[in-house]
Amino acid sequence: MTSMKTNSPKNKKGFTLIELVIYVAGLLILSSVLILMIVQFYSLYKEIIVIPRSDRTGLTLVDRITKEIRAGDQIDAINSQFGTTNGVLDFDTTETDGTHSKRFYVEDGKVKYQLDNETPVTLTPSGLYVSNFYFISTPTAVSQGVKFNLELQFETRNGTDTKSYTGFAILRESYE
Amino acid sequence: MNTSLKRGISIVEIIVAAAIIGVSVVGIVAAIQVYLKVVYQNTRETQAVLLLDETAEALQYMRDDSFTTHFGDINFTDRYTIYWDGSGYELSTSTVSLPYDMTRTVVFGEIKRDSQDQISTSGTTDTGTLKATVLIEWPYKEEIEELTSETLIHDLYEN
Repeated sequence: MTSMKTNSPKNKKGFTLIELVIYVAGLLILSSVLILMIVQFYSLYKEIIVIPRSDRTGLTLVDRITKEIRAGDQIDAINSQFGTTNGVLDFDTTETDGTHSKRFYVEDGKVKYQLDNETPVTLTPSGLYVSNFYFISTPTAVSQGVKFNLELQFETRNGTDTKSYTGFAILRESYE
Repeated sequence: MNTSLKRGISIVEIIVAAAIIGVSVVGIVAAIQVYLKVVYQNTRETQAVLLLDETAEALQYMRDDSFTTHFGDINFTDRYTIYWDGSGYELSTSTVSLPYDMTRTVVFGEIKRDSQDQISTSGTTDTGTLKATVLIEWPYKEEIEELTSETLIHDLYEN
């Protein structure tokens, strides 16, 4: 032990045994805390990153689609597909510059939105797969509503997980 | 460092360094925990707002469908919830499960109108209008968080 640091010029030659023991003990405690932390965060990855991401996307989409439906005036029954897996919602909205056709549908596992004949816009990020986007038409004698359900699928450490988000809106301009 | 007297790191320096690292690790862990709590609570709150929104919309749907059928025999002392029966919304007094153990409760109240037909605390009961108070609750650790909103349902279409 004492020969460890022979280049020390004076009385002090390296560490004493007690110093080394303290040092090693300290290092052990510190590294075990760090390792525990890393293991814990790795196992929490799903809760910290994946699920909040799915929630954010799902809730934002529910909010967006609800608002779009609410602004609508009538459902395009020919182009819409209700009650089927990965359905299509096509409806008209009258704005100050005229009537527009709006369409929500699924393509390649992504939610797409198309305004009139413009290029469709993708609304879901990569890493999230839309396993189902389901629309149900709820007509009453005086109004038209749409119920929708969105299922997002994502990979976690333990396999594939699915979360579903649901919304409902009445087309405000559909009232007689 | 003075090379003639001292080379390497003394035990005091190691302890000080370890203490600094230790304190920063504890700090980072605490910060991450706060972040996680904020993200979790934020998401639940957004979800609760959307549920309140959906409930108000569903009540409007039920009014459009038939005020008498859905709200005809409402009991003001009962706690209701709404559920989707596959083709429309219905009221129920039994518990309906929602994601993240959230619960939705709807309580109805009567509306009174004065001689000028204005809503007031006393006067004649308006049988064509109901006050619906929607409450969304969800657990967080030992506590129950909640969001509430009120809406009036009027038998507009006399159905």
